[in-house]
Amino acid sequence: MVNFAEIWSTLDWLIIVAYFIVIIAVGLVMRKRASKNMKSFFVASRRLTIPVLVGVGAASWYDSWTIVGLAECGTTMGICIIFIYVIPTLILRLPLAVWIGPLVRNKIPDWVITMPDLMAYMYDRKTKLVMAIGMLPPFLYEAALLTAGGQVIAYVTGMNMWVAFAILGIVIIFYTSLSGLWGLAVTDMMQFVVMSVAAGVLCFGLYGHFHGFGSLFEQVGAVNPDFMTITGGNGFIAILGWVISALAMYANSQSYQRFGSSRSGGDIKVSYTCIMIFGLFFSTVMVIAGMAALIVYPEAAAAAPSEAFWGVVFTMLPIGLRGLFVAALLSAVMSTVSADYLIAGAVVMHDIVKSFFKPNLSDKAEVFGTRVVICCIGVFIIIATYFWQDGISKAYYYCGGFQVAAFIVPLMFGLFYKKKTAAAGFWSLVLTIGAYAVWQFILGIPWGIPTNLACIIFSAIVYIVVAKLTYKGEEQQRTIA
Amino acid sequence: MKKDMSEEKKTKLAYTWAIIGLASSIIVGALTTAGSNQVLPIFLGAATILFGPITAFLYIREVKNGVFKVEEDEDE
Repeated sequence: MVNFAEIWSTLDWLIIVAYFIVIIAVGLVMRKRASKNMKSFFVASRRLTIPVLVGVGAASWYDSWTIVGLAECGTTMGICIIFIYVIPTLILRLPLAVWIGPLVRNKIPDWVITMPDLMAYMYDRKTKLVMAIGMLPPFLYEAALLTAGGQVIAYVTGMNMWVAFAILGIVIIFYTSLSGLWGLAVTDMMQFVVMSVAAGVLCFGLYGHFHGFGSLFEQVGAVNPDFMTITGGNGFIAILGWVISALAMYANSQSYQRFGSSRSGGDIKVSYTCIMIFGLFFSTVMVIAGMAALIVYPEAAAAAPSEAFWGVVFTMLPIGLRGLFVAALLSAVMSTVSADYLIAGAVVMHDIVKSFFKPNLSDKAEVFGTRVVICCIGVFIIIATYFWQDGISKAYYYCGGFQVAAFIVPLMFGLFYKKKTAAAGFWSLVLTIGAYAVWQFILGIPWGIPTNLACIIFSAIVYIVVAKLTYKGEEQQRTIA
Repeated sequence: MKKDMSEEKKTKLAYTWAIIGLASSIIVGALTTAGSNQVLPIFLGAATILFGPITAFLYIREVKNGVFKVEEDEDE
């Protein structure tokens, strides 16, 4: 295996240190702008335009799962992951960009700034509370992202992994709590550029090493012929599970925050379609880099695919660019984690504390409280890295799977179903949260049907049945009111 | 501040990007299954490496046009 510390140069160090200094400086510069009120802090006063949205959207959507996770999939599954996940992701998310995002931005009132707010608008306060509480456990995913970033720092510096987790976590807490989305609008753009350039350089590095992709594909096919097929030897249900996981962004709180921060629905349409094209190229490069890891470091790939992937990155990129690629991974981690810290802070302070316990809280106090919550959650997430030592794929499976399973039906039906009722939204949300735990952990995924698929079907049935039972009653109540 | 593009133009632009996205999916899928030796890496590498800097260029232009300045004015 590669001795990472040995080939890590001073120039690589300088790039990483410069990167951290700039990120912290942005937090300090943007602090005043973000301090005005919650709308300013959380959705950047709804002023963001197309290029800014491309930066904040791409940097937050494409995280260390897209880099290390997809590379792991490339190592263990081959090209099929491009066909069952990467391409479906682009196709299935287009409606989110072209119709749903603009709808949320243009038709939803100004007071709706978070996903629980959206539930209150579409249903009632009870459903808002359930959504706010239900959104908290998936934030454990941030710990897995932090783990991926911290592991890289530990590989290259030889420092203790826990120290690396803490350093990375503290920097993120610092700039997110200071500058809110205004700061992220700057840091995410920088992080997006770093990710883009680093992925391109890696692609050309692979091209140079294998003299094209042809010999790489042939060698991968020789290791396992299934790795060069479209299905990868997976059954229909397994493929369906992957395809559905591509829908995760429909139930992702970051998406709705970004929609709310845009200047208009048209800006969302353009920027998010651009983001998806970038995602296609970026993700494909990572999958192919993972396949290269299988050939260059076969033994390491069998034991720890992510380590083999970093071996490939470090052997194929020249001095300086390795630092850039590590910065890209850290960028991906930091941009996603910081965005979710911001959302977690808003969920606790805006959606739970202010909505249900302290309705008279001033704007300044709310922003201050959100900053305090971000700090507390950030520290908790650093500690929670202990749970995700065995790979990011598991975290993506549980946390991403839970979000899409529990939230997608009440969100989509709330936006488009004409006979929606508050009771339907509430019960489909509550019962599906319970059903997820039962199907995944108690029944142990019966008949091999993926939990996300089973829960979406269950949630839709509950929603429609309850809506049918309660629509007339709620209609009458509305007429009386 | 520079005049903004109309919503209709933005919608047309978005549909154009959506078509480019679908076409790119077909191209990437076809080149991968065909085991492309040269075209796929050059296409992917060039597209990925250019995407960020081009967006950054447009972003800087937006900043000059006052995307952040509006908020400063409101503060005053």
